[in-house]
Amino acid sequence: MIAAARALVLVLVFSLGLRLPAQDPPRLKVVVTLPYIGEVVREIGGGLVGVVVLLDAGQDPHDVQVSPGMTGELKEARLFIENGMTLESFTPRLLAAAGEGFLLPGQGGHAWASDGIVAIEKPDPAALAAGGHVHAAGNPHIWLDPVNLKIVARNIEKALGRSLYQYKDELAGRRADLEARLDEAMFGAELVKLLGGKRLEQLHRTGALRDFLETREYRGKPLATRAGGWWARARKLPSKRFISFHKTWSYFEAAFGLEIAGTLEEKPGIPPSPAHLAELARIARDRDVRAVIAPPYYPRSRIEGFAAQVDLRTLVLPSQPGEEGAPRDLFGHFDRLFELLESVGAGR
Amino acid sequence: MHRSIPRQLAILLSLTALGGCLIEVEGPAADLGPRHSVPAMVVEDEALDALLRDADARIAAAPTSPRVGESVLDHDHDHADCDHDHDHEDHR
Repeated sequence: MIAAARALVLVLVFSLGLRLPAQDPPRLKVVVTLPYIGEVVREIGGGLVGVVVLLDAGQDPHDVQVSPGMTGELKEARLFIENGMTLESFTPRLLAAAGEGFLLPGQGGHAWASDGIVAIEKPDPAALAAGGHVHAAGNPHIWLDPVNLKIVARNIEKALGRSLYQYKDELAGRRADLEARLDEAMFGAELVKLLGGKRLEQLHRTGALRDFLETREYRGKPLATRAGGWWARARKLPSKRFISFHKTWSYFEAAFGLEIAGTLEEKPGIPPSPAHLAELARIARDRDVRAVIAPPYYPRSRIEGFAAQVDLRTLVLPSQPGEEGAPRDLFGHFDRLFELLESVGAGR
Repeated sequence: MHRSIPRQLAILLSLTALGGCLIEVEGPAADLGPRHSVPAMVVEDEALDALLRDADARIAAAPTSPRVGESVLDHDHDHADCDHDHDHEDHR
């Protein structure tokens, strides 16, 4: 009888144990440099990760001082992700100060968000020798093409999977979901359904998408008119020609068929000469440019001074999620960019 | 009494297993059922087929592009050839 009662108690305890909530999954501490990387990590990692973003939204990634606070964050980190392509010049100093060997490039605790992305504007050796703030690996502002974010998502899934290998299916599912939402936000649901997200991505990456959509029809309608999302919003912008301060928007320009007619910086990181500004003013007048665009961290007085001289609007655009009042999520960031660009009318 | 214990055990274990199953289907998996039992409809659409063939031909014509269905991560990536230049001392 006593033995039977003991057995019954054991079974009850066992049954209750099965009904207890599952143990909380581990939260992997991931430290990233830029806000956009943090958003992709949150999208892919969900509740499995705790994300620390080192740079505030609105902070110039080209010019960062390593602080003891930053070094301290790395002490408990299991993964460090940076954009790469020489954008974050501070990370070698940061990683050396932290002294965590497994977070160094090439080790399991380090990842490049930009891995596998084809860089544009790779400088020739003469440009490198001329000095200034030149990115040897090409323009690093890769996240301003939403299709590149799909590659970033794959890189981050792979990096998280090294530590969270038992959650690989979960990570892959979230990455696939993010890719599907990016496809639809970029091209619109109808075009994605018709051609498939992967095919659209590859047409986009080969530079063949615009001509394909503009020249081919389906059931009596040009494919371009079936596009939605950011691609269609860009197509309808009243003004597509801008002057920028720095070459921040090159991927955005290429992705959406805009034209950056010139940059206020004659050479990156070096103030422009009067001759350069005069030439830029001539280009702005001749080519019917309507606005100067720049992220918030560049000298506004210099930008506004030039814009006033040539009768252009100054448009401060968020270059990252959460910057200049933009939403913190990847999708809200691009929505905000288009809201601002749509505010530039056809006339001055 | 003594003989009936195995039956009680069996009932309890069955109920436990049943409870576990019921708890499981409360999650996202609960949405999956009917959709997966509907066979995919095959629609003949020659115009669309031609479009897709043209798109794939344009992708294939690009010399360095990956092919449809192929991820960039499907390529072997040798980091020794990686294009990141990390000589940051001369950066600014």
